[in-house]
Amino acid sequence: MSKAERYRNARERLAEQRRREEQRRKRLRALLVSGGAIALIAVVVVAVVLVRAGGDDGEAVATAPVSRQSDGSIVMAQPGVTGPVLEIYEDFQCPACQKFEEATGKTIKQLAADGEVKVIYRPFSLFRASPEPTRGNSLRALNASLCAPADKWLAYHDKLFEEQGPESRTGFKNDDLIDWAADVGITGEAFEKCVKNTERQSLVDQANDIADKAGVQSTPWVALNGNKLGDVAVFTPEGMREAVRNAPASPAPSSG
Amino acid sequence: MVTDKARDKARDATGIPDAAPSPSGGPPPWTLPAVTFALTVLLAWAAWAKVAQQWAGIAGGAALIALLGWAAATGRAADQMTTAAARAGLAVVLGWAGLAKATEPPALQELAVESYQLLPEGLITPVGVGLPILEIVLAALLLAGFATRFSGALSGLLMVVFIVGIASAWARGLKIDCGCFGGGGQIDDPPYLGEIMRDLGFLALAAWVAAWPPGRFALDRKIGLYQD
Repeated sequence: MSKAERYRNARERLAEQRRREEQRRKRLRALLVSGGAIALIAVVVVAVVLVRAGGDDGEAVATAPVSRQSDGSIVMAQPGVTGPVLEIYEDFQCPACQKFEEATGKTIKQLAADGEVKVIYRPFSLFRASPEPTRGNSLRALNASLCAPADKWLAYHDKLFEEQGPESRTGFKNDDLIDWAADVGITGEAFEKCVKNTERQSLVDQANDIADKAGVQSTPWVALNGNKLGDVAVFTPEGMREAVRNAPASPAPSSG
Repeated sequence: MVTDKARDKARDATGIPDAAPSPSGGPPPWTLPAVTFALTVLLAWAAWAKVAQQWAGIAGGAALIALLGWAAATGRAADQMTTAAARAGLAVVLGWAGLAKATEPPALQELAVESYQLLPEGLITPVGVGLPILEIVLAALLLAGFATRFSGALSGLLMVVFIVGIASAWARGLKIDCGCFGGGGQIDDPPYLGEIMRDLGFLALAAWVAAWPPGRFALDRKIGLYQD
């Protein structure tokens, strides 16, 4: 091997080595960049999840007095408070209603307890024309809620939403409905009979009629002084408080 | 360090000069990137505005797959402008979808996730609230062209997850709004096939970005990740 050849070989080796090093550096840089991207994504996502995590809106509160009207609807208001009027149309089998109760249920109770709003719960069966098992679930739960005495109604209503299962499976079985009632202090043969024999069918029909006449097409349908509220008011505590506090105490003349 | 010169070299390497008719006399070179981007934005808009979702999704998704498949098969993969258009299109899709969800109350975001009946209770909130943010961050990364191959691959993975989720809801007979561009929960007649085809189209975009990064105007070039 001549001197010139050896020299060339050495130079090529050196160049090869440099190329490899350059490649390694490039790979490392690509790795670092991807790692940076992952870190960035992770930090931002976790931060926002921690800040925005919705759901629970505070501790349980003392509630305003609750009474039942002749049409089966439930009024929750401090004595003398006549408005603004918050009407809540919901179906016990509706998942969005469960979310609504989780997100703003306690806020609404607090507002009523503070005398800022008169609340009327108007449970009905949105799913009365749906296929089984959704239809039956909805009707059994509604009937049971109408069997519950007014003073324990609110606790039972909360319990029913807590126990809501998927609409694709049979839920709200009569035996369960009776057990859950016992959990909130509703007992007795009269209640059991009322649940098992669907004794409140006429009130169920009446509630459905009222919802139809009010133009309710979906649930939760929450109306303040007769005006349907938007998602922000329905599903965020701040939105609900703001809507109630900005509403006039007497309903608009056009509302029914 | 490696800026315009490298870009010029890259352009030369593609053999497709800027803003001039291609040598073969076919359509001008910007046609492919322009059509790719326009089609993607149109598809995202139709999904967001809920316009003829079933047919828009099927036709748009199929067109996007066909277009990119044809481009790849006919040797247009080296066109860095098309990668840039795919990045921008995917960024519009993810950013739009993410913003539409993120501006809704968290309770509704959770409802959209819950209605798939796939995740355990403890994961509903992190996914419901975190997914839109992930989409927005991915959109920003794609737009900037930072960690392009990784961002493209992760976007593609996300699309696969969406497609599997929608297909599983369909297979289980659920009737839910996919919650892709906000909304969610029960609906009467979900356009599942359109949604899946649409996401397959977006998956093709993501695959393109991951396969031929980083495209023009990419941060990855500026930091010297690509010098071809």
